[in-house]
Amino acid sequence: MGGHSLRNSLLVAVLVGVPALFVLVLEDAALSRADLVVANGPDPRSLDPAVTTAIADARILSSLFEGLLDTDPETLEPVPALAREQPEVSADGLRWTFRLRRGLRWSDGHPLDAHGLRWSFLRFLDPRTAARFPSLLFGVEGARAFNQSGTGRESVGIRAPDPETLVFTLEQRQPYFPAILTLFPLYPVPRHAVERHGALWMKPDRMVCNGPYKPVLWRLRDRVRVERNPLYRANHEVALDSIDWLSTESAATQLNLYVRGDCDIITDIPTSAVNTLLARYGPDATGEFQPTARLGTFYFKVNTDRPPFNNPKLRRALSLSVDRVAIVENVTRAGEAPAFSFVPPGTRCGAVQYEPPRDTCRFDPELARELLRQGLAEEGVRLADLPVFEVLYSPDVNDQAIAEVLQAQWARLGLRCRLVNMDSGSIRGAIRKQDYTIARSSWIGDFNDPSNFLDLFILDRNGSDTGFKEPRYTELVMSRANAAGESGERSRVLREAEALLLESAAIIPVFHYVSRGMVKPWVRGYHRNVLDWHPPRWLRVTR
Amino acid sequence: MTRGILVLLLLTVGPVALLLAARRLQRTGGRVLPFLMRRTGWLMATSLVVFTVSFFLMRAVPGGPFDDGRSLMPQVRRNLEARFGLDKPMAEQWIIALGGMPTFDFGPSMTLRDFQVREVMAQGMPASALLGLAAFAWMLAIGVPVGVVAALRRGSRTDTVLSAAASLGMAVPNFVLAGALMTPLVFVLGWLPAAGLAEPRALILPSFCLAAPFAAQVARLVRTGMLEVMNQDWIRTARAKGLSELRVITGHALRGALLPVITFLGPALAGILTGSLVIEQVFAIPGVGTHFVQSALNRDYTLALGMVMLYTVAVYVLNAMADLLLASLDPRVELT
Repeated sequence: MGGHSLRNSLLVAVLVGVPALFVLVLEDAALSRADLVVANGPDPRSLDPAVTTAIADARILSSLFEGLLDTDPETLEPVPALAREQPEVSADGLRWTFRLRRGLRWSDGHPLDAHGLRWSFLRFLDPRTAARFPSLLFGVEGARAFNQSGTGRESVGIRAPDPETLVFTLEQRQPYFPAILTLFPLYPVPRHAVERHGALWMKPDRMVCNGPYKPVLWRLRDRVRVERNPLYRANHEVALDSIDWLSTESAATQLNLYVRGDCDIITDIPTSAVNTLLARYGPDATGEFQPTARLGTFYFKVNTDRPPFNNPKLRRALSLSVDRVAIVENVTRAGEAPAFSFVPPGTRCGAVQYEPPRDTCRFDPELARELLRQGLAEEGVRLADLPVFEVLYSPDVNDQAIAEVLQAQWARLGLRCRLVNMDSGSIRGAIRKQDYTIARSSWIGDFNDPSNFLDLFILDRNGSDTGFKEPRYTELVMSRANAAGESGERSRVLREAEALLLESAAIIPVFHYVSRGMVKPWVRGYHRNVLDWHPPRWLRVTR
Repeated sequence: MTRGILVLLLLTVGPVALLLAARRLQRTGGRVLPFLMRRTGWLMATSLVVFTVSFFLMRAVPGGPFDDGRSLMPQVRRNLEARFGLDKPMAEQWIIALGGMPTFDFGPSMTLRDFQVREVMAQGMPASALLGLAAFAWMLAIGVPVGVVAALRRGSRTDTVLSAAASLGMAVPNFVLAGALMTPLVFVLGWLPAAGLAEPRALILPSFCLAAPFAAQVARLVRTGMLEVMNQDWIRTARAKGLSELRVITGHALRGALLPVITFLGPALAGILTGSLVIEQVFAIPGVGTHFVQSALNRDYTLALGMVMLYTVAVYVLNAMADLLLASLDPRVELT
């Protein structure tokens, strides 16, 4: 083959290929601007509510689906959605009866009734669905057994005596049951679409949903676009015709888009920009950046099975020597609250405010030193003989700075640790296998109740990866608190349980998160709240 | 399973057969065809090795695809693992995955659960290819003229400035350059969008930042090449024929000076491909690069494996193309 013909064919390939590529990419990308553009963080894990737990996905799903109850963005109370009124609860607190609105329809016109809802809840529990959080419904009679064995579907305590009535039977009292029914993993999915299309029913061209919007486009690393669902039951109350949920992997990109005016809402900002943003957009300036307390806690897990921290006094010493106020003032800086407990202050507990025990995790270097001395004596080792222990932190700027502060404060006690930077997946893997000494962790609350936090550490749920196995704790959180019902007694029992957890020092709470989103002034109906929950249904734009 | 075994056979026997056949053909005087056969053979063997090593390395890293958020109950984890076939013995998983490899059929992504790995690639490839091509164009459009001018003005202040700029261009990481250029062009002047690929203008900045280090390298290669060529006898002959200086440079000198650049194309293309991992992230471009990084971080076994194979094939094919181009321009070069 001669050099020339080879060169010519390459030339032709380039001359045809490049313009074609241009057309392919840019033609496709040309979209008119949506009524509201939200920079939403990472790509959705899935648009099937049952299988995802990502917070970014929750925001999109809240525009596509509606559950039995919904969380009011102002009061954070569960309010009727598919249900036409608040549920009736039997005197023993075990039977919850929901009456549905009449004439509910899916976005394809198919009727939505109690039988369809029951099917959807059972699908959520079916082990073949592989839902991430089936334990949300484990309060329901027979639900746990069905999820774990795949048998006993018919004995799950969810019944539809008629198309407008849905009855849940619980195994024991669960005063916060309505709050659970507002959560996005429990949004109903359409039986007819799921059975027809199988695992890929949620593709935008096939999806059938029941919320204010329906998806029209999902391009990875770009956006999910949703448009008005004219068959939504309260369509007349929905102000915006379309919303773009942009995929933005980094907070810096989000901020760039926001400052350029390419989006109206961003969900987080880069920590390094906190001071500048407070000065330029803070409450005293334009008010677009107002970090707001959020139900969430950044903490370290301590492996209570691994020496030397199998000694509770040594663990307490670690916790008591952490100056949390210094961390929020010098490191996180966006108004985070120092965490003296695991459950954030301000959490509701039924009708009352939950008061966490805030004394155990105070900053008390004197007591820390004393406990260290006692602990070492109990173990029969000298301080100098203690091995250097490892602290796992993730590659986040905040994480590293916090780990360094801890290292310095523990060094003052004479404790030597080594900081190990690991990606979050590896840290979670290490925690799962309980192969760590101290590791960073975090929890963001889904609903406004201490159980949402304290359930993490009950036996045989998820949290025994610290080695904390206190039967009394589980009994308090599971049985006694729930039996106490709505009264202030429940709050007191939960407080007693949390005190047990904190005294064991299986965890070292550090700070409570704030939501760090920014919102353009023309977006209305955006209520800053502790759940960082802003259902798109209520948003308006006045430009 | 059967498919996997067939693929395994194909990828072990195939390369040997191809290499032997290529050697035979070459003896009868073929040039391009044996070259392509040899490269295909090596690509097949490489794919098998890369695939196998990545497959097992990924599973050796702590954490798994379902450690991406909240901790799961053990039973839930088992449900998920069963769904994705992770409960099978490792060797069986490997052979099953191998079966899909030649067609890039790696099954569903484990973290982007609504997508097949193939879909993720198909969605991202046009954008990445466009970004790469634009960067390639920048590289040549800046590198060549700068190199020529620096060589012609050798030792002058222009040369010093251009050479210094080239060294700087090679030293500064592309994401730093991106930050430095974004401030004036995007925020102060507002000429260009900050992210995405929704309009042609959006391509300018990312492709430039991606190209800068390679353009600098091209400039240096061209400058050296030109200096060497300009002293040759045939250039003097061309001048003596009365050709204008411009004709001498573009028609004669540049041809010789560009050969080192062509040799550099293979590594440059590979560099542009991998460099786009960062640039795509910074400019939020919907290409495959970000998936490469994220899938590894998320332990998305299927997607990460798909990405590794995609980049392996891309680097291999682009290298072969660069070699073909070089051979077509310079008959002295042997195609191996």
